[in-house]
Amino acid sequence: MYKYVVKRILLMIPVLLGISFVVFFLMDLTPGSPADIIMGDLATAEAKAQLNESLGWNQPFLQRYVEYIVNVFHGDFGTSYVSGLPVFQELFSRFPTTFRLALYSMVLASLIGIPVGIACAVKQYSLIDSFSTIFALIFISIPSFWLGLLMIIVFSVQLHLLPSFGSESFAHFIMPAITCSGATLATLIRMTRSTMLEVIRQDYIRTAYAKGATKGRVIVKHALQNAMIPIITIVGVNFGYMLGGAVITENVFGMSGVGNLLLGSIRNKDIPMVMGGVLIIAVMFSIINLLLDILYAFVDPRVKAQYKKGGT
Amino acid sequence: MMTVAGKQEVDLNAEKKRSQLLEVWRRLKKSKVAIVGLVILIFLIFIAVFADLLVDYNVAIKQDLVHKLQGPSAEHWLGTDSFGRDILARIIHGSRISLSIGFIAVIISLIVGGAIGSIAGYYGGKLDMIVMRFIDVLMSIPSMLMCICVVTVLGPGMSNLMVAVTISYVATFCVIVRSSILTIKNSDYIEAARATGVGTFRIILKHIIPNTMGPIMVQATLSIGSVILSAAGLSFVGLGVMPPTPEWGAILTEGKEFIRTAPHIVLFPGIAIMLAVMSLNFLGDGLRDALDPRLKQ
Amino acid sequence: MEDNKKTLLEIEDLDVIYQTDLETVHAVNGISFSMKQGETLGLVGETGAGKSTTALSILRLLAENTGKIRKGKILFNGENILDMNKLELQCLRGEKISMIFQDPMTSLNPVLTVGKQIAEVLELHNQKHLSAHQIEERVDEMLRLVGISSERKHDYPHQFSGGMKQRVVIAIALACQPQLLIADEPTTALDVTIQAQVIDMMEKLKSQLNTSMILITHDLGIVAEICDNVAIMYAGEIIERGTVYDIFENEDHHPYTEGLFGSIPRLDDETDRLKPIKGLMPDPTRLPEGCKFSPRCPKCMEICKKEQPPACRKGTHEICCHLYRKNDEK
Repeated sequence: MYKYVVKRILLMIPVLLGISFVVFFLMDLTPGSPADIIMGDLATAEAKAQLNESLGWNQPFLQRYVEYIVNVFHGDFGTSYVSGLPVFQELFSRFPTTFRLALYSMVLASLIGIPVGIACAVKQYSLIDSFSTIFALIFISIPSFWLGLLMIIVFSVQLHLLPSFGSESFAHFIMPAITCSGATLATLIRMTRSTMLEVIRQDYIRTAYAKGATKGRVIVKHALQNAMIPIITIVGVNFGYMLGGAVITENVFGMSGVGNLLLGSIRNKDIPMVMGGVLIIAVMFSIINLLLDILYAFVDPRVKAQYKKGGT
Repeated sequence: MMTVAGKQEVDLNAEKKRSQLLEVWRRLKKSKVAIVGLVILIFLIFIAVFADLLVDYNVAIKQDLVHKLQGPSAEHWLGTDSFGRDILARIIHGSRISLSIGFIAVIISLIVGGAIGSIAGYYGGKLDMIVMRFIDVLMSIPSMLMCICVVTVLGPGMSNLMVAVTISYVATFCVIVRSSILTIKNSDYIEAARATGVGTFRIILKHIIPNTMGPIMVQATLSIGSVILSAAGLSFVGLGVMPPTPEWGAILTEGKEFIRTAPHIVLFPGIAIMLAVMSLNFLGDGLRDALDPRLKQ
Repeated sequence: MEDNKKTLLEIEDLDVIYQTDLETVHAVNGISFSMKQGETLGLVGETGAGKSTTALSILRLLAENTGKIRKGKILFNGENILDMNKLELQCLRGEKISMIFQDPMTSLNPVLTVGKQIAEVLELHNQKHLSAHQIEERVDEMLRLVGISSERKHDYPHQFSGGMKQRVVIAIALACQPQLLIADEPTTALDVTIQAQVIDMMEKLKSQLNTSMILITHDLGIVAEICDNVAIMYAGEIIERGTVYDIFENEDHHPYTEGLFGSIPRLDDETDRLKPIKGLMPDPTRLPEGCKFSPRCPKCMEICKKEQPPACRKGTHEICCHLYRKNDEK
């Protein structure tokens, strides 16, 4: 098990190098130099050239990339061109907002999605089932920013119930969390339903009924754990994506999260900020994936046996 | 004699394929949801194709500041935007842009991703490993961020938007095609075909591709919907189609500032996006059931 | 068989169908039989003859959406199982009647330890209010009884071989000392050597615990070895029944039974080829009129195609065939 985890962590390194290279390369292709961003239009060409020189901008691409990576390994993500603050500090000041948003949306999606999915499977072809299936399909089709705007129109503009902008209090998170959870909720309903349908047709479910177990017990104790892997995968992967900043939702509700920060940084060609952000997102995403794989082993003993054998 | 037998076999194959398609269609027809999706989709495609006949493009971009921000009326069925342009006309012409972004981006990423995935899956070994590591890299960058990066590099605009979306979907199709090829590659009938001396490309073209079509078609249908959503999202954060081109996401975004006074500008293009994506999801879902009778008991 | 023993199970005119949008499958068509306490009944027939459906009907475990019991009675200790409510059924299943399924590979829950799976049935029917500790002891005892070391109760099903899994399934089935055990082809999925072990063990435990058993199988050898009575099913009907002597020693048989015996190799008979029964089971969505076996029957007469054959009795032996009608009327 430990061997497996170590192996997985080592495998993350080439992927992270690849990601950083791709993003560094892309950012390098964008027009404009760092000095244009830092000094603005008013500075003289001479001053800009000097600044670019001191930032190492004139060196060849590969050398700059290697230097950046070496610095990162020393824990130095550089300073933002725009704010002049260390990248790491700025990113982590934004992180709590993003984390809370991701957490609330996933809790919301799971609390509704999993029970509804189970109900659909248990009562296949019933009214609940067809209604939820269609509802899920419609819900995936709604553009999240549109849903967000509509909620602002209704709850903020018309009813004055909820704040439409910012991320200070819990109330600020209600509408964003609903907006963010939409797609996950819909996927979760569908996935829970189809997995549960498959599981409840298995022989061991019949065995459980033959033992005299109640329907509720069979569903909770025998079926659910067997259906858990796809369900936690969806919740986990979406949580991972959301930790990278829900760019659009944060934009709609003007939240000071990682997504909004990155969007601004990309627009301003704030290379250290973008690089730092993307790397941290990728690391978190990989860690979440690893945690998921470890979690599988606890849910399903067969997976654990596989890890012990050393297979990936 | 040989040729006759060969021809018969071809005919038989063609007939079998046709009857298989018919069977899928028969099952698809039974799903009301899929038919609703299909009807809405055909309707939207119809609007996109005949947009010029329905309303002149100039109406969609002509500014009329006297009549700006008007609600729905007899003259402007869906009202006007902040420049006094007719929203209905903009949505009608926007359907061309939004639908073609969806279809073209998916078709290109299907071809590129499918080619990479099938070659990697078929040959396996080192090539497969290198390709898959690269795909891993692409997949661990959230697609929205990837799109934003690409658009920033290339500059905003419809074709650049399409490139950005295509890049993020290449990986998806590559993975799907590769995994279905891996399962089919080792099956007995491929072995049999190889044993009788059928060439590699013929095997890929005649045996593997037809057998992987089902899941790929489903994924493609569903992807068109999500591409339309991504494109609209990019327009929303200001990296999509440039004004005055009427893309659905762009029309919606222009109304963002006026949600207090003129919420209809946001409402109607959103409905259009939702309808288009919904129709594709309905259809894709029905196709999945029709192609996989196991799921329905 | 002494007649003074109590009747345990009595099935009257049971009729089960599977209904889907496309078709109706007539799985069991009006069968009746009864069995006494301590008796072992062999239910023999080809795949699709309705054996498993009959077994599942007794526990009311038919697929909810499709399987329907159209008419009939299943009396267990005089009570009709078909009239029972959910609660009564739960008390019945696992405690009074338990079942061993065909495929041990899939009948155990892969995410629970075997110990927990045995303990569950004890917890569900804990009339004696055993403590958790006592239940654990009973689990150990059951495992030892089926020949598995009790230390292995913390293992998961995937760590056991097929034969060992079937032993666990048997331990679950017998944990509450049920009055009736239904074994649905308990050895079909196992290796031949393991089959013998499992059958021996079941036979031993059955007599030890004084359990009645319905053994569903298509293996006539097993039937001869451990059954008291035999019922032969074809296309959802019982076409011949009797004691194991009636079936294996008597001269007169239903042509289908003769066919069944003809299709097993015999050591004392020098034949080059086995004699399979010609043709296939009739399509259960469109059963033939008259005798269901008539299309495949080598001794088919005109009347067989029109009229359902009556049951002809001779002592304990009963055959549903027009051939034996005259004997009966004499």
